Amino acid sequence: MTLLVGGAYVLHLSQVVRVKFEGKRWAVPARVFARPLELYPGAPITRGRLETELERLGYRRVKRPVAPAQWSRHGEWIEFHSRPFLFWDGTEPARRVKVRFDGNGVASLTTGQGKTLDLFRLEPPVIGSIYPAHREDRVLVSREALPDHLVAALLAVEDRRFYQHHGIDLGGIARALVANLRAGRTVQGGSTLTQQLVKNFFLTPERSLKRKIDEALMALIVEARYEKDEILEAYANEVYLGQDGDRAIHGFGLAAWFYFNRPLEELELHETALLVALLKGASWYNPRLHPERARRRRDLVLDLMVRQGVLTEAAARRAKARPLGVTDRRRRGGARQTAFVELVRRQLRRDYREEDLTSEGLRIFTTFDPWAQAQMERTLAQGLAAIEKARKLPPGTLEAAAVLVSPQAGEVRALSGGRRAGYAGFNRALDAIRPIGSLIKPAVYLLALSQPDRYTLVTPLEDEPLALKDGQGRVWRPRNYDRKAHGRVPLHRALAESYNLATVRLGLDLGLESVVAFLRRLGVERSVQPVPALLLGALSLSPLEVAQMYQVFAAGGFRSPLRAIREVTDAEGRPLQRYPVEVEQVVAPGPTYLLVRNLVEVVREGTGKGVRRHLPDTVEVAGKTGTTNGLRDSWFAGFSGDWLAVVWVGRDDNRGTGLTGATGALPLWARLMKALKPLPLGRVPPESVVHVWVEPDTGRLTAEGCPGAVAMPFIRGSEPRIRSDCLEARSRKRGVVDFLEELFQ
Amino acid sequence: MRMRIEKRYRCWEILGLVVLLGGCASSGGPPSAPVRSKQTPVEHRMPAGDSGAGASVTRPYRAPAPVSRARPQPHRAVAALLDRAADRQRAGDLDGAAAALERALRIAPDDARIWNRLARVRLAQGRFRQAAGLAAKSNSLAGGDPGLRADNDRIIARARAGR
Repeated sequence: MTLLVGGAYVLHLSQVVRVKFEGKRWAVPARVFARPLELYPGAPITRGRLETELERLGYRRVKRPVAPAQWSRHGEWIEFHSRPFLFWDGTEPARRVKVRFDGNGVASLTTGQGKTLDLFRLEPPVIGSIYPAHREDRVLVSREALPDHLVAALLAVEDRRFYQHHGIDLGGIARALVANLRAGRTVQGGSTLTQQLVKNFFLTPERSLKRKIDEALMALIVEARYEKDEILEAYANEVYLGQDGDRAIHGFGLAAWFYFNRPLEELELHETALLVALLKGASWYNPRLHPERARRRRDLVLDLMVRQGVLTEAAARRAKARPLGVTDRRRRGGARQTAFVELVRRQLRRDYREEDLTSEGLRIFTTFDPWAQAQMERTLAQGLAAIEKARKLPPGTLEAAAVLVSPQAGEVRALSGGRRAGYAGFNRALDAIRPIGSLIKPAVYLLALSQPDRYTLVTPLEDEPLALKDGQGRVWRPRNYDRKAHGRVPLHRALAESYNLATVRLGLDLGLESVVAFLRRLGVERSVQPVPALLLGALSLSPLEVAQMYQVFAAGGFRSPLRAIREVTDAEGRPLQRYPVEVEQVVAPGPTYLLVRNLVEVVREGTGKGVRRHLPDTVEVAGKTGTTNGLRDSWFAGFSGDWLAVVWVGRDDNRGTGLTGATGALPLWARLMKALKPLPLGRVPPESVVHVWVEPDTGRLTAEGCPGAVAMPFIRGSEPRIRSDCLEARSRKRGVVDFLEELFQ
Repeated sequence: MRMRIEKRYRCWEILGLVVLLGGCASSGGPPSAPVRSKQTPVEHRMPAGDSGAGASVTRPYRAPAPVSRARPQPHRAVAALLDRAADRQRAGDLDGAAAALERALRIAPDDARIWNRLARVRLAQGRFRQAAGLAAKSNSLAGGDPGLRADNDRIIARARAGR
């Protein structure tokens, strides 16, 4: 009877083991990659930027790169040996590449054999993973990928008879007992690797006799059913090796990245010995917090290897002489981009179930640019500190958020959710839904300019007080920021100076429903109330949503849904889903061109002229300030030829900051733009646009050289007809000359 | 000949107006030389925006300077990717062709040719809405390249018919 019950119990345990071992053993989190860095002659990438990228990827600087993941520098040359990488459109093989730099960036690109290369893309750095609720993160490794010195160290320390025993090592237990008795405390465990694996895999951490018996039985079952190498592989992927905030580091594969920012295959003896040292207590021996303790334990591992004859004295001595080699998490690679990964996660959730994201080992290729992100974090921090100092605010009073987009294809390249970079808290770039103030005005003016028979840049608007009744009979009296009325002003000045009265009149003229419909076309998805206050920005959006609206302006009237993801593949690299570049023309290019020229005026001669303190005149940019009631929100949104950035500054408690768009967000935006070394706006005027000489204040036609004459763009056919006195005088004179010319021809 | 032009555009000529031509500022390197549109006056120069000394607003409306001189254009990388895309398309690998073209767009987003090729790939994939959008985008950057414009217009017409 006892035998029967015992047999049934063993059968049950055997079933438990089989299900776990032969099913999917682990939930493998999705890996999120940054964009690959593209190198080609003419790329605006400096030598320093490439060096930073190579460091981020964990490449080692050597005298002469001969193996993958090594690089060297000789004057203005950088030579590297890349790792092979599985992209969504095929494998980029490992190869040696030489890059020469000049003042502008990459001057030439050649292979190790001296053959010219047109372009080369580096593997993309990992910026995060999407792990499940139990917060275990891991990178799977196969048995073949375990370095011999890692296996040797592991067996020397944890289970020296691993390849001989059948799951339990009685000799080992006896040795441990003796050692522990001698020491008077537990200094050595008698558990085999198999027992440790079983304990982690199937059992709770309680200490009871039944559990001990289960552990032993299951270890025997595992050994009976599976090969030693399978067991070793399972162990190597299961073990707990560290903690990163709320994320648990499991397995040697991820630990190699976490501590050394390199794949496991590339680690050397002194590094794998440290990983084995951590098995005894990953937080107690944490090499970042307790380097001396970790070093002693690492050296002990090396000594044990020597004692068991798997390592020579000399090799151990050399390994002990090496530093720990652990990377600084903040400065070096492997930095986790929590704010951006959150955006990736949200965009993925539209197409994937949460459990697929956290368990299938998906590879997610994003649009993220680590260099641009670094510029953003640095300039925001410096800018905020400067503002707080100048205004005698306690440090840390202000918060900020920013979004950086590559406008033509609508790719989000960097994202800052707040001042504390990398902190997984409130993500203001996505979730701070704040009134946008005057940032809405370009939409109103673009709608007007889309009706060239009614509006041009020189159409006079009335900047005069008005009173409006809302639905409840309350009277609304908008005012200008300077509390003055400016009378008749040309349309372009009203936008440049951000006049409220002129804008409200213009918007009412266009019709509130039309303005709301137009905002929809620009990509605003939130519900918008057709009330007059909307015209002055009584509409709350997140910085990311503002970026979507301004993307249309920056891309010449073409809307591209903002994307953070390019491709998703499964764990083996098979493409699952593409997120292609999509464009839809939502505004005609002509009116958009006129608006952009007007937004250039904002930055040159209007409320945004503070930008010029940071950016030289030659770098033409366009933008708009935004300020809300009580100076609660300070906005700036604008773009160059190649970048679109939106910056918000405010306080989490929604109190006033004392800052306008021009004094808060603008200097941050300008610092960021300066750091990005942007291309100036240089757009070709669309076919529908003509430039004619006008007097900008009166809007009358004039001639080159006449007082105040400027060449302004108009939609063909909407040029002004009234002529200036100067023009009249000239054409009279010209008429006489023509008459005489014809006479004497 | 001169007289005829003067008659046709007398008003413009007399006023001394300057019209900026689409092709005179090229940032993305349209494939062929800019061709003047027939409706534009013969005179071909930028308005000198600073001539109105003393005026409050002059500079913003100066025509944007061509940016091609600011940085060397990545002709070879783009050409290599266009070749690769063409190879893949010939081999029937439309996704591969699109991937190469999107890669080229990230390098030279103002190059009207790349948008045109991507529109062609989308058309071949039967993704008509996207094909039309991409062709319109190409047109907006094509400057005075009549061949490219005509091709984009064909794509748009076929996409409309296909939808």
